[in-house]
Amino acid sequence: MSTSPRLRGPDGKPTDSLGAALARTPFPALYAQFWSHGIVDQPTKEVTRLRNARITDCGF
Amino acid sequence: MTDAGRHVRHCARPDEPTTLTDVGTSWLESVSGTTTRELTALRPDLAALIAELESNAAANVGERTQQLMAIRAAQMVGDPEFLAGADATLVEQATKWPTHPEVTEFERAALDVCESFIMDAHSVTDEQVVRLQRLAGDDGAVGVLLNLAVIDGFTKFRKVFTQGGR
Repeated sequence: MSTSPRLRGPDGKPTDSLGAALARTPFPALYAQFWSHGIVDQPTKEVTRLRNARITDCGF
Repeated sequence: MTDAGRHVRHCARPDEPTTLTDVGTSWLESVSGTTTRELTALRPDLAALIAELESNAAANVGERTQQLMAIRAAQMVGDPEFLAGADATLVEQATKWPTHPEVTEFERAALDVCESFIMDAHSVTDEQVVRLQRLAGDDGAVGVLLNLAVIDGFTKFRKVFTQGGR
């Protein structure tokens, strides 16, 4: 379990920004497409995301 | 299964189908036994983005490291068909990674985190992450974890939706 931010941002200082960690990957585009399309409605996706976040202790 | 996992189990209503037979002919039956790529092709708008993410993730750590982690994940989750199709040399190395002489220090660090991540992401320690960062920098550490996110997700995805998991 993380006890402190494990990454450094562009300024070299520790950050817990998931966006900063994934900004240089194709993940944001996939995530945007996933959330904006598909047969599962957004409230259901959000409930699932929150449940998953609770299980994994994800602060995001 | 953890206590938290047990709470996720869905309790079917009396009138709700509980098996694939109850559901009748479904897309699940038509894709059973197919590959991850065939499954993701059901969402063509996502398939290309998923392939790009997988490719980018593998490029960050190298195909060999990515394959070692995928094999180890398949061993842990139980994916015999994936293992049958994998390079036998890499399977041998992933099986004996703590001591195998062909496994590098970086690969050992990645496989160490891989095992913790697959079992329970909470168990990944600061020391494990610092070791990855020392060996591969921040980008390398993010690369390993991004690969693990993809591998963990799709190994379990295959486990749920396909017969053998390819």
